[in-house]
Amino acid sequence: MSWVGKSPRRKEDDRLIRGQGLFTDDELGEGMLQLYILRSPYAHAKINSIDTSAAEALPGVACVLTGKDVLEHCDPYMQLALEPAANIQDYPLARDKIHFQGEPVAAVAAETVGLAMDAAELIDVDYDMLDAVLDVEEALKDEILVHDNIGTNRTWQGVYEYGDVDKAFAEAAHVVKIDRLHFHRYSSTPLENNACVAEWTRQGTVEFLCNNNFPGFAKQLLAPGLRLPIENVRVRTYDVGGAFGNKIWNYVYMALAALASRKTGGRRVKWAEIRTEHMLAAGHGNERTYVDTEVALDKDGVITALRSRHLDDCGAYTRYEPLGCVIFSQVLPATYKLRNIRIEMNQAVTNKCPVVPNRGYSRMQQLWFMERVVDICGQELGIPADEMRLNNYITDFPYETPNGCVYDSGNYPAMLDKAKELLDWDKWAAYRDQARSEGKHVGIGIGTTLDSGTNNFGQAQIMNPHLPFSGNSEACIIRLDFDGAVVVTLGTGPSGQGHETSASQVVADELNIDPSMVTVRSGFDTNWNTFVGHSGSYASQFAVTGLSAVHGACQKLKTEMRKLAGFLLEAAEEDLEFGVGEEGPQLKVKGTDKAVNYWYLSNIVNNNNAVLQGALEDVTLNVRHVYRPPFNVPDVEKKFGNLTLTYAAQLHIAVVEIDPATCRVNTLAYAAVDDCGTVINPQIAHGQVHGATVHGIGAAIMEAFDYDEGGNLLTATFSDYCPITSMNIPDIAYGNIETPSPFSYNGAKGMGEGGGAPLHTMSAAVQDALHGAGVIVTDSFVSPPRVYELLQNPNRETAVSVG
Amino acid sequence: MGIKFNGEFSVDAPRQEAYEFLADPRKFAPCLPTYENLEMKNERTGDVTVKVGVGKIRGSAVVELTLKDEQPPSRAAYDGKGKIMGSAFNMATSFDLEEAEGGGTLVKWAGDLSMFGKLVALAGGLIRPIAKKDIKRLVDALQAAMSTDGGASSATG
Repeated sequence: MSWVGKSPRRKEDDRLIRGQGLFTDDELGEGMLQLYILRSPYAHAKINSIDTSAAEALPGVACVLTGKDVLEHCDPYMQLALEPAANIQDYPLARDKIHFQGEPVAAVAAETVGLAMDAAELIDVDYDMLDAVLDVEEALKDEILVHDNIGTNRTWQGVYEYGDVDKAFAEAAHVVKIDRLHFHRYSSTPLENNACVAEWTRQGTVEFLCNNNFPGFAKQLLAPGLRLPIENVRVRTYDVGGAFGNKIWNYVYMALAALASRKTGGRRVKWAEIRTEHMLAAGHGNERTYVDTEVALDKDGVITALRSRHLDDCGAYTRYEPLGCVIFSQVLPATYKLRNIRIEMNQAVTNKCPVVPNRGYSRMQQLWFMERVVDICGQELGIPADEMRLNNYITDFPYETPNGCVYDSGNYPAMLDKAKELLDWDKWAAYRDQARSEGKHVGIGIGTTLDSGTNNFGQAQIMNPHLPFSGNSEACIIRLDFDGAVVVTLGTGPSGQGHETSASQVVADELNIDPSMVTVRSGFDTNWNTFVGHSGSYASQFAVTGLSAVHGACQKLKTEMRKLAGFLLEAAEEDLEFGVGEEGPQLKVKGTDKAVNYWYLSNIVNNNNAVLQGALEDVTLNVRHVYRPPFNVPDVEKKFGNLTLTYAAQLHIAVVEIDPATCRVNTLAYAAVDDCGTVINPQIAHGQVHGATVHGIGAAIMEAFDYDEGGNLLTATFSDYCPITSMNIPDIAYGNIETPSPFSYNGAKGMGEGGGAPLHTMSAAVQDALHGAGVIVTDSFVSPPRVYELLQNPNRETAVSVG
Repeated sequence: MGIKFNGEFSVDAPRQEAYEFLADPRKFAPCLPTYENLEMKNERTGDVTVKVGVGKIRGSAVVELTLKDEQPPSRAAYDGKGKIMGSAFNMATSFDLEEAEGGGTLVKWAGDLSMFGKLVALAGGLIRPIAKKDIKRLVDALQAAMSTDGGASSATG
């Protein structure tokens, strides 16, 4: 029997449901200090002075950190950007200037969090407020500089041009011009905020327990930032309450706990962010504006060319950026077969919270844009949304996009059929027509999206040719412990995705045992577990990188086990079979009762090895495998190459009705179809689709980071931000198809980010509902106030034109 | 978050007398709603401690109040800045004084309050009505202090 494709009970759930999980803030210890960060109320200001004397005098306060401490002990974090943005000085605390509201100004370590908060109130910071720049187009004018030393707000510019765009426009039957589209700021707000516990040891090493979701990368940035050799920094995680990419750069703040530990002589220091801090400063998803969009189409509505200018707002610091300016191109033409594309990508810093990769990072901004293009063109040319898509979908796989990405497999028309069936399309189409005849605003929207997984880090060189990154990798160690237990360690650092369960299913299949007989160590640990530089939980890659590493390690272990068992049983290796006998997991000589169990094999290697022959010296039953996907370095000049290994897809359909009194978007029906290739664990895959769908619906109709003109974040609490809850989630009809990837050993594709499908879908559905009222949906956020605004000021005349 | 207010009120006091009151931080500051204390740093600048709060978020704030513009007897203007509970605010207040018909002084006032930080995030929607109420209390207090009849003169704003 095969465990892959089944849904055994998740290994993680027993401890989590019983409250036995270990999240970072659960870590306790005598003498542990609590860190609280004082943050700037201003978005842009000059710091004249900081007086910490009153705070330091408060009983129970162990130390106070300011920019002076940081300058004394830290170097600025490495930037990924090219110059001049490479010269942005990013430290854990502000030094002489504030760049966004919520930027850390000082930090207090005290016996309790309450004391630390009280002490922070006593810190007297004298600011001179400066005018803030909060809009990316204003920022690109460079009239107000976020970082004075780099002389510009622009952090990246590049042109992605393929095919013969001008010729295609010259030959077009229709040209649709779209004035402006906007993808709003939000984040997937994980249940657990950022947190870490740090200890600066007497040996000059730093130990971090944290919830970073790319710890292999974080370690590489933290160590030089703290002026330490990389081997002196230990990073470990255990249970993590969701990340969605949001925790990739919490290393910036983790350094403060380390510095406080250092300043207090090595006491352990815990920093646990509170929700408002998280909303203010933990990172927002990329906000993007699309201007001057022109679309060429033939007489049948087939898109032949597209040109546009994209403006990405990355907030006050670049950090993981400007990677988003390249990562979007993994899905440049989305699911469509157009070959002629010219997109000018620009990015600028503004006085807002820095952006962080958020579930569907940068690709969903591009996919939303393309879906808007398809729907607006369809509406304007009178072509139904489903027909428009069928006219334009890519249908032959593997498919090389104009920029050299290879879509491994897929069947978008079949997904559309399945979603229609799940939804009961004909019924809802009839309802829509009837409702419209009664003056109601009812719409049906389709969203097709891609979840590109397993990055080729070589794409970083398109952004900055000097960066030493390419390819990708993941590591796994599998061993037989003294008692014969199968123990697996991984570098993947999960944050709720069930890696322990999925990995045990793969091992169980390889060894022909039960998943319950496999122990997969929880969390990530640079001292204990195996890892590589790419290790982490991000970019929809576990099913490929993580499980390929597990699979590879299994092959190596099996080779050793066969060799050893063959020697012990005096049998040919090819005559042995893996299975479970009366004495547990074993290798058996086929057709006989001769067998040796795992305990015996392990004992021979670890305790009783004088009997081993020389030929078996290499057998350790403790093997490591590093999986490396087959990538080349992209052509940096042409911006051409395979940037991602697999392309999972999702197709959603929503039926919405706009409440005439409140302008609320009510979802009447919703269907989601997923294709992530071979499904490893259907329950986990279903859960991922459900989670991504819910996140996307929330983002589309409820969640936005809104700033006022002074740079105040107006939605910094859950009361104002209104994250989606079970009360707002529609019934989701779920289905899947499987088009196995030819590029992974098991046919699986990375999945879980969902590519923002609900955003595309809800925009399309609202568009369909309101098109008759002269409305074009130009913003990814369709909250009641915005729908009201659209209905009061129909924008079709100015938003779009057809020639 | 920015809030602008303006209005006018009249007092019995002659213009010079009204000006001298408004241009003296020692006299003006105690009229601020929830005033607790004033500590002068120099002739033009003082730290005013006031109680502030929205709902259950309550505390004291120190406002550094500076007389920025004095044009006797026609104009006095203050700048103020302060912080409370992780938030900061800047304010600018001006008083333009005219002889009132029939005696006394007509005071045309303008206020510009900018708030930043946690308080805006936590209670942004409540600040505007509270500020409006407090400004009315300030105007009432100024009228009362500068009028022989205890502030019965007219006010708009």
